[in-house]
Amino acid sequence: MADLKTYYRTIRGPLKAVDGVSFSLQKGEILGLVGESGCGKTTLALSIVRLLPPASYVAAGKISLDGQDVLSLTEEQMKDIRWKKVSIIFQGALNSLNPVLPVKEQIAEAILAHRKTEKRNVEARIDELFNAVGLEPTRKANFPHEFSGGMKQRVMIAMALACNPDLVIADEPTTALDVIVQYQILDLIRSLRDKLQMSMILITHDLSVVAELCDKIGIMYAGKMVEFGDIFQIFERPKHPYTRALLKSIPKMEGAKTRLTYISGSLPDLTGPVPACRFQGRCPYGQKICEEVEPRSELVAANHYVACHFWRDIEKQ
Amino acid sequence: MTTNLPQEPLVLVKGVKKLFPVRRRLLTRSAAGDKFVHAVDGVSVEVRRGEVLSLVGESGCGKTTLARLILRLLDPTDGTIILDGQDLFAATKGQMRKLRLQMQAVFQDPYASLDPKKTILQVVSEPLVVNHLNKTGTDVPQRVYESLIAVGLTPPELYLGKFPYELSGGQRQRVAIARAIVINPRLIVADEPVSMLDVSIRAEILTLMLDLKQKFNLTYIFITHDLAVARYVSDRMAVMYLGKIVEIGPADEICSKPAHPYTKALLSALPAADPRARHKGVQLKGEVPNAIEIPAGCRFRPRCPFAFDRCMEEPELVRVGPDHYAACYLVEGS
Repeated sequence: MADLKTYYRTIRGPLKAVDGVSFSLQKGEILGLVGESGCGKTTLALSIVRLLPPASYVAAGKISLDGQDVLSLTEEQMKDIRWKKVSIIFQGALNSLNPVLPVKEQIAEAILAHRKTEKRNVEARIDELFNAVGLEPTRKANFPHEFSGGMKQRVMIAMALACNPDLVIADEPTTALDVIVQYQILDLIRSLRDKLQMSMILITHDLSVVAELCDKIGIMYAGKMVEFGDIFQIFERPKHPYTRALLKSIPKMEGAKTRLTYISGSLPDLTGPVPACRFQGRCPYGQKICEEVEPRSELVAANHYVACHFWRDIEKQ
Repeated sequence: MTTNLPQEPLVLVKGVKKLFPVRRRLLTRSAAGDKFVHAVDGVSVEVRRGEVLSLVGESGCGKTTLARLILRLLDPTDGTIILDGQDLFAATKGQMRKLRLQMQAVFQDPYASLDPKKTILQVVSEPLVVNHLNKTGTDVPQRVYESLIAVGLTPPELYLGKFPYELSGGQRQRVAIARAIVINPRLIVADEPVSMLDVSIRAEILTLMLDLKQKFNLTYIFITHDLAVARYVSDRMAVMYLGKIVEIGPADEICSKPAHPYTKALLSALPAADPRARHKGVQLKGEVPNAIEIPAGCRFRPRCPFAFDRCMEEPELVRVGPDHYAACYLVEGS
């Protein structure tokens, strides 16, 4: 993805939900995208599968998926790619199943849309998918309400995998689940990745889910990717003031209880003029230059990019 | 942080049960008799003055129902709750009015818990109005002022005339807290007060709540499914499973030395905020069964990796350490 800009049309002018984001993801890697609500992470995901809501549009940039330029495809070609190359598990997936259709019909629909195949092959494929996600194949004829939350999430994952995609995007896949079920689902995702070698983009606001599962992490703030790179590198040597503040704001399970720190203020209004570095108003290190000159994303270590003028100075403190 | 004074507890919950009848289907009147959801199924617990007691557990474990019973928003099927020496369910209307002044609630969703058609002044002064404490004669009671200042919405003049939609999520939750403290209650029941908020705002609200507790000498019942949040705010923690407390004790000790297999499972399922501490291996199978057909004996038995014959009999809470109790035969009392 290079310099992607996705804007929403509003009466007060374009809302720059995603404003110049670039990153790359290798086969078999899991990327965690984190940030506060409204930082643009869901918009970014919808841009990749080209399912943006009507009021929004891609203003600039390039998305290439396995060498194919996604943004230049026709809608017909795009239909072909969805499910087969890239599939998405939406936020609130628990409610995105059709309540009046047995789940197997819903999965079959996804399969048949892309492959002309006989009915019994489809049945066999569904059995295979159910086994892969840890569900009894005998339950495939059940309706969504007969499944619990965790099982519905497994059905959604089975459906996302139906056509062997190279990339799966999951938007807050475990947010509505209890901790034990969340762990079961994270574990399932991990084992599927190991087995199928698919890539994944996991969108979440929960840093510990990212720590648990991802290889790379991207931290977004107000439409910008402020820090991106290897998971260990960023958790152990965070550079951007926003990342550092986020990591300090989560309560820990071990060690002495220290007072949590937090980031005061709120996100800037993205329809109006914003400081060149969007974190400027809330940043303890913000200076004049941050208002005027946008910090470029710099490579600060192997596999670690940061967009901040002062990351060197902050590190010394 | 716990007070060691030999005082009577602020709230004493004794053998409380709350069963909700399951609605029969229109046509098939079951002959098998009525079924019930055992939301809270025999809970005894005390809330000490000045402490933060958190109730943790998965959805459906009964933590919210227990809180609603303590607020007397629900009447129990069985058992008593004593608030500050007075039986909540035996109180007359007049007594109840006085008791209500001692407790307030903060709810999960600050987008739903504030009336969108009221200004912040109206929202925060409502407890004063309904309790007829609004007799100072001034337009803006001093207490509304003080309470907005206390929650950090300063200067209050800036917020009094605003409507909830003009505020951010964090600010709305501050308004909800201001409304709770305006009548000077002793007890605040907070039901998942930060779970709808972003991480950075979460820390802000938790810190504020702890500061207010010190300042106004409050006692909190704090309901959360997030164990890290519970550890951060609370003195004691009660872990609930299917309507029962399975373990209760000092928050730090429960997190570092959990005794009940369910608590252990909960803790080990928690994603660690450190990629070097990733989980491998053990996890619980299955999900919480529904609270209609409660398993016989220990409720956790069907999912417990250590269950044995004796678990067919329901275990009681036994002492496993200083001020630390668990209901499991494997942790025979000390």
